[in-house]
Amino acid sequence: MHFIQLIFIIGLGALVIPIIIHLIKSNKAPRVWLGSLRFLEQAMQLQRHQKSWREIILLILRLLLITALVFLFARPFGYKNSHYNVEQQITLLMIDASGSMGGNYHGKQMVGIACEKANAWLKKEQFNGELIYACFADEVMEVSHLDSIPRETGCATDYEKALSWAQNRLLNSGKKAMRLVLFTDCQKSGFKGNESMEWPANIELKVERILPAASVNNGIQEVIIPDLVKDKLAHLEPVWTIDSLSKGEIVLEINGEQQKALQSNGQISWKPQQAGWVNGELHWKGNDAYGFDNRFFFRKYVEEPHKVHLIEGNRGKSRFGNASYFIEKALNVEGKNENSLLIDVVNQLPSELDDAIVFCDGGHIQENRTKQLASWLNEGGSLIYFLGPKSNPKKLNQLHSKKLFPVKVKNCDSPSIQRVEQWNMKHPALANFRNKSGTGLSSIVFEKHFDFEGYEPKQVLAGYADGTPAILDKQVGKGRIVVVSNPPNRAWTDWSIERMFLPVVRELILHMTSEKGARTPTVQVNCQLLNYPEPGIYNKELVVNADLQEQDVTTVAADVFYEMIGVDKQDNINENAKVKRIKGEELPEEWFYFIALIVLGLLLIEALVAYWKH
Amino acid sequence: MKQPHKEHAPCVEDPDLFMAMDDLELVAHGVVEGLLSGGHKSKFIGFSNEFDSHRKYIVGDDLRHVNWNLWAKTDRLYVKQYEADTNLNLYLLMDQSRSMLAQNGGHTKWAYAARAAASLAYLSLRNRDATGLFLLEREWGVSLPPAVKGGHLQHLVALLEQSVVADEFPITRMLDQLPEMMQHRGIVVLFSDLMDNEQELLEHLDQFKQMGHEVIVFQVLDPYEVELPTSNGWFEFVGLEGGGKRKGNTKQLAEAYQLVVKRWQDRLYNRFKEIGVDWVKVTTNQPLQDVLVEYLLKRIHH
Repeated sequence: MHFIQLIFIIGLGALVIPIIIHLIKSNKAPRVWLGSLRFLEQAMQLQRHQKSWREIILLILRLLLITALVFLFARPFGYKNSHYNVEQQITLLMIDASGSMGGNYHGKQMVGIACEKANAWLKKEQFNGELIYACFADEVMEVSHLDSIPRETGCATDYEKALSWAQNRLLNSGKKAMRLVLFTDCQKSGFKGNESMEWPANIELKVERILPAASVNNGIQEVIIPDLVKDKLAHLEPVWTIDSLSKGEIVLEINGEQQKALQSNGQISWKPQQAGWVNGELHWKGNDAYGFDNRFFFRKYVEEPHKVHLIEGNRGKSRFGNASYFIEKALNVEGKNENSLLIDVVNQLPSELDDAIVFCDGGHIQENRTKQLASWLNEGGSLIYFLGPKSNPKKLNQLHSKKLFPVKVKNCDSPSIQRVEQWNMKHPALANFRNKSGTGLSSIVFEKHFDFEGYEPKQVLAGYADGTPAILDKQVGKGRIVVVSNPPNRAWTDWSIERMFLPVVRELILHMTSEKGARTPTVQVNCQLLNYPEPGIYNKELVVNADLQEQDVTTVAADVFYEMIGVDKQDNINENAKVKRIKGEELPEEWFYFIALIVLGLLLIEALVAYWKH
Repeated sequence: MKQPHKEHAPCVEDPDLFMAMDDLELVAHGVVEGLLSGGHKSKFIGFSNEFDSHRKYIVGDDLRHVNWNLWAKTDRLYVKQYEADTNLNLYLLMDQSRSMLAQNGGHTKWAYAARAAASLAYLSLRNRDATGLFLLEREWGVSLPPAVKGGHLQHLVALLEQSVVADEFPITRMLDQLPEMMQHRGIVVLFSDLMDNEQELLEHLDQFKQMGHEVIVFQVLDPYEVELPTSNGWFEFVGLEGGGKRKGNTKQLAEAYQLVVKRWQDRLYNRFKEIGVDWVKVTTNQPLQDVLVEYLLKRIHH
């Protein structure tokens, strides 16, 4: 039932008045002292039936009277159920594709969840009218299908624009039964602070709220590799590094602390001390003739740095003599025991907390430690071997027999120059290089390498032109072993100075240390890039989300959302799309008179019953 | 709540006037003298029975009983004495059960009964009838045998004034012991609300009749015991005997209550009539003189 003056329903609270009167009127009765109650009790017995019935009838009459009066003032009305033909129905499904919907909820992006919900809703409704799809953020885009909705988020939310567009779209459709179904996270900042909107009564609106992600990554979405062709890039975690232009001033403020740029090269390097959210502001000011001043705010969740145990078999004294120099570079370590990335002496086993052990130009493990290491590997540990001059095939084969090495190794006595041409791009470690042209991976040349026996083709992550493996990957228990047949040593290869070296090594490490399936592919967002090309080994790119507004992902409940867009939920939600309900159009006046008559009748009966005895 | 006793302006006959007085002797005097000096005087002159003898006039004797013929002959004042004056005994039986405390508005039934009894005693002793008082208490303790001696009235009145009504007990148990103390023929006057066991009570009264006594029962009731409050609405009724509380709406109960009380009183009337007991129902808002009139009428016919 629906009411024009819904506020008068509050009057139903008056129902308690006759009940209270009925209950308490006998409690405050004056006393009469009688010698004996026996005559009174006899009288009560005579009157019992008549009294109780009369009281109950009076109570019911008074309750009915109040109810009727409330209905009289609240003015109930019914919607006219007008069934329209299929041709007269139109439904618009709108998906919120703003930045706030880019967060992940239980491993699924919220936009994807919204699309799934929309599909489920469509199956449930089973209607045949015209159906339109659209997505919106700060702009609205009509799409042909839900799959066409872009997942790239990062833009601001503008409900006013979206709803205005929807109104125009529906009203201009010429249909009579119009409905909008909105799939959104009800982001509060999506309202621009204008006066509340007014939603037309003849368009049914349904809001399906998408629960916000447990953690929405605003600000810096991810440090990514947007285009491997153009620049030499590398991941920056766990150390964020921002290089300034040669001319200009750059200030990075994180968690309220300013990070000073190095005077020599203007570089700022910040290492997170612990996992958690960090708030930052990047202030970049050019000082040339076309100087500009930009500020970027961001918020980022810093994950726990991976703990990788690097075991060097041939640690040199100089930069070029050190076989593991470039691996250290890839792992962002500059020396021993820095930032949880341990560099240790040969054959010293890691602690249980290590995510991975990297053997560089070595692989010699003491006999009494092999069982312990195999157990750790089976429990989920990861081993990476970079084979080099110090690697002894005999000892490696012994490790193979103990399941600590995936294949048998032949001797490597003579140079065998080969190009690494065949890369398994389906491998998760290479996911970021997929569909990227000109990555230069196939141009890597190994001048010297080890040969393997007993491998399976599916274990080959990268191979030479003849199909023999250059990099192997094997699952062992819950753990994983990767073998690179060549050390990043200038005597064996120039790969280490190629632009793809650090990204590949970095991805390999991330792949090894990530839990299976937990790592989501990096997502390129529609955002502003700060790109600082730097001559040298690699460039760095910091991605800052564009719209500050999306950093506030406070959401509101669906009911509040209805109010904010000027919709009375009770009057507009209708599960049946074929029914058009227009508030206030069809007031049944006869109801008013009918209820008035009931009120008068009840008053009369009440008076008769109440004063019957008189 | 409306006061039940305000139906006429205060006058000598107004019970409120006497009920407000604590001195029962004074009340008795006022009631009796008011009755005899008022419109009832002629009616009750010469209520005595047969002439017996003369005695010397003493101050306070009613001049109406002076034998003026004898005074003319002897020049001395003699007062006529009647046979019944010295032979009639008045036994006042007072119900002291808890129900006599019922009071709605003015005063309790006991207060009314005590004043009525004092008045009767005054009247009786004034006529030189031996008057006794028996308080029907839980434990038999206080009784005043009939006598006409000087100071008897004060003694009787003092007993009434000192009596405390508090207990709940059957007065019929006390009536068992009375016949032994009422050997001389007389008038037995019982002040009670008769809310006791009717059957036993009637048996005792019948026994008094068999002993040759005239029996008058003054049933003293509160006006609300006869008729529930006329104002509509809910009342809480408290029972003094048997305890308990009941809530009821007099609007619905009044009619039924009156019917029940009327049945009860009709039954009493019939039973008293069967055994020859005079039954007078009074309510505490009635003038005390009504009680005296009933008594005097009985006394005249005795």
